[in-house]
Amino acid sequence: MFLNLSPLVRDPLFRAFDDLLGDADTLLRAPRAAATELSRVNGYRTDDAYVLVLEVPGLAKDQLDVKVEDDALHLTGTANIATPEGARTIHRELPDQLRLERRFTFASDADLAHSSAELKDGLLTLHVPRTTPTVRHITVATP
Amino acid sequence: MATALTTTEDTTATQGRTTNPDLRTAPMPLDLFERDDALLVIASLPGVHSEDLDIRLEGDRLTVTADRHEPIPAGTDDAVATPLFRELGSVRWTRAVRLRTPVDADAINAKLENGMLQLTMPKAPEARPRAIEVNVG
Repeated sequence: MFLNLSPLVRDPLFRAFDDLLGDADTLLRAPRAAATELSRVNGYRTDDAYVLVLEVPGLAKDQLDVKVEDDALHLTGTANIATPEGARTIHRELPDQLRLERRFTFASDADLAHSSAELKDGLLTLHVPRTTPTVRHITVATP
Repeated sequence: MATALTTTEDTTATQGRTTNPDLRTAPMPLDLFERDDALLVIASLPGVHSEDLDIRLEGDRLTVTADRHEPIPAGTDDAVATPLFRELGSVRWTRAVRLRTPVDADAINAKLENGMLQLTMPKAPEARPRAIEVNVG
């Protein structure tokens, strides 16, 4: 499933983030259709960072992989929601397996090399510092 | 074999909880399992803290209510943070389940880990399978 979030950001002040949102892509394959609802994300910009918060219920630290690829953050994760040992299934609504893949591209001021991730309570928080843009003045020559 | 649990989409499941207009109410997706000694419930509750989880057993009626507040990262309140997109709002997940098998209410155990709730409800002694010793005469 492709999820394009670009239309949600209309303020021209944040036009640079269209890139970040335009490539947002969720692929969540599971035997049960409700799985796609489990990977929602919030995104914020502060003065010094971009912060993304994703739902990753049931995924432990070692089931998540976050990679920096060129100018993008690539998140993948897989978790099995197994039947408890010795138990019989009576009713199931959760997916047997949650497979998550999501990719974000950022504006040029994102310092992906120093990004970090924290997992807590089924939420993954990605923190990408922002760099101060270098301003270089160009002297205008006159003939 | 009779089903040990039935689920109900019950609009009265939030009875006893304070109404909060900031919370959107949504049904709680869950799995139900049965062991010889216990009934098990597994629910997906990403972003829910234990203090925002309410589990009640009234007679044979189990009600689980979980409030998830919008997960705004620390230090990114509205004064300094610009929301770029918001798919994770504040929500109240709720679900009522009618138990056909009596359980020991005092021994119910709830574990919240990685955003998943596992509820273990030991069956009442009279509901557990009992081995009958065969005496050979």
